[in-house]
Amino acid sequence: MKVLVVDDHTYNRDLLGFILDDHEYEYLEAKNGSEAVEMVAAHDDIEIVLMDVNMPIMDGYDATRLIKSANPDRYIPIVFVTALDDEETLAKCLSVGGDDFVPKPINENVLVAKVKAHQRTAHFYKELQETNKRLSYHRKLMDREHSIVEHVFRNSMKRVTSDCANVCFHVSPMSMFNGDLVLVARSPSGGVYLLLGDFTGHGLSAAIGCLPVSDIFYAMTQKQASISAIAAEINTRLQELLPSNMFFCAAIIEMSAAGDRLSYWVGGMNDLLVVGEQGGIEQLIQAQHMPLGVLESHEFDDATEVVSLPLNSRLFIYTDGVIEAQDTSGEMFGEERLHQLFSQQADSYVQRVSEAVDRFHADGEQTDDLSIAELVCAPVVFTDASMGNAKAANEALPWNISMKLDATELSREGVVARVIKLLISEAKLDSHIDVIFTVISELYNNALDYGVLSLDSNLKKSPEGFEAYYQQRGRALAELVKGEITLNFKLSGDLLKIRITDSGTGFDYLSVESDDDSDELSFGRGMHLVRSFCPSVEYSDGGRTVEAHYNLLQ
Amino acid sequence: MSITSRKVTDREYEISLGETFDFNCVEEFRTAYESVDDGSRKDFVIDFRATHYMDSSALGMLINMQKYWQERKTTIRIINTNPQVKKIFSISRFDKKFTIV
Repeated sequence: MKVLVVDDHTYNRDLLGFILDDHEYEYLEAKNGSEAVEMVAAHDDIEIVLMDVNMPIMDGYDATRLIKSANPDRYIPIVFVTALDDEETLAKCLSVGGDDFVPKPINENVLVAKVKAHQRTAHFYKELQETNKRLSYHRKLMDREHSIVEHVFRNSMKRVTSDCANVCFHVSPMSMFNGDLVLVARSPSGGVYLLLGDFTGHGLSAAIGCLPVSDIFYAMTQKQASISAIAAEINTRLQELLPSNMFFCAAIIEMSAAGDRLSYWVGGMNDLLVVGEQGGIEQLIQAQHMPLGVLESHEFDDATEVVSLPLNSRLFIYTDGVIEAQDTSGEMFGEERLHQLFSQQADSYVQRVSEAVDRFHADGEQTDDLSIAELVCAPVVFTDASMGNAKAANEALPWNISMKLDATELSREGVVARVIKLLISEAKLDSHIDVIFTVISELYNNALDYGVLSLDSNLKKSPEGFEAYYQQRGRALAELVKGEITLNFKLSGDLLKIRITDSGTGFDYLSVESDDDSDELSFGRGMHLVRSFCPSVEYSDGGRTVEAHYNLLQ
Repeated sequence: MSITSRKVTDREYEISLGETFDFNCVEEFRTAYESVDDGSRKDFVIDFRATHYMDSSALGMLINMQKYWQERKTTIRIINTNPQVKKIFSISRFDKKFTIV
């Protein structure tokens, strides 16, 4: 920190210099305004200027004006040292940008006190500038990070567009990130899953929990997991991840394909509203559980409730943001106001409620994320039909698997299930594997039961015999010492060729097919099923060998 | 245990099956619906949500269950069948004998 002394008289400069020296200030000297301007430009450690008014070449006024305008980013207080004390002079000093005065003759105490005061101000100014710089740096950094995180969220939530005609929802986050979450997924059996939840807090910290929740939700719904299992899994994960003061209020719902059966797990949410086809709230469904992420896995209650609602009734679910929305006077929207909105029938209660909240809100500030969803209880319709069986590897390579099982291997459990595990690695069979299991089971069990074990299918005619038959089969298998079955699977084009040969003496393959089409028989359907799925089924070698072709294009 | 049963109401029971519903389940399945028999009419829901694999003995088991309860006007609803399993039911014309949703 340096002081610049500007005066055309050597005497004045020496005097000021002497005082500054005495108080251990470093200083520089300029003989006129023009020199002063140059020196300020050359020395960025000059923090205070003591300026004379009348000088040759350039006076103090012009110098002050130039210094100030040339250094808009530097804080350089200019203190006029002058014997002139008329109002006009003082006013001019201020108007050109001067900051203060010290009268001549100079009083040492006054001068030092003023220099000190301005030094302090200069110091604060500098600090403020540094802080501002840091702030704007962090702000830029944060904006950048936000935009990255936003990108991640956008991508991971991309799937959150309901293509289910039964579900309608509205989400209004209060900031860039949302602590509310609405997820919709179709179940493999044609039903629909819906999750609506609210993390404590809002913004990024609340939104972060949405990632594991949506991952679990989509992974498990794809496998048609039960609501209980989904709730338990989300709870466990959140319990591990979240700090103890953070949790997730949620309603998880599954509706059957026919729309007649709702299973739900609700924790920590506002009452779910059941709205009749003609409007009007017919039932309130209260949360049975604590929010997710609170209880340890062993304390967690995964019990779900099941309810059947009349056709075209609707289930309405919402987060706190709805009833806690405030108007300009701070009054809350409240449950009563919400419930009134259902007295009249509406095409979409979601729209009606979100509009009502918006109106109520007027210019009030949104204080929490807000989400609402409704589920129409009717046969489930998905608008996007392409989501079904992905036509995976059309380019499958041809292959051939053959295995020969001896008596010990035949008596093991789950032979067909193990064969299926082998076949399942072929992506082309993906959307057929359940049916292929049935086909192979039938053919294999015929070969084993009637070929190798020579059991009598007539036993299965009565319910008691049905069970006795399988007991007998179990005993025969356990005692089996001799026998073989060869299985052969060949993928060629769109056909899966299944060939099974057994070491038995052959059997009357026609008799195991029920010719009696009566629906009452508990057996004899197997070959009918096989023939329905395989355009070609042929027994040969007296029943010892069967070859069936399963068509993968069906 | 691949089969679990759960009382929903006094009358309604839900039986949930495992991944495979085949002849290995014969005894277990029968126990599941016979053990709740107190002489009164019941309504059953059979949950196929986890079930991928079944053979014709599965059909037999369901028929036997129906026979066991038929005199008491018991309803048996089959729920959450995946499309392939549903296909097996419909080819066996089980969709005419059971409520399959």
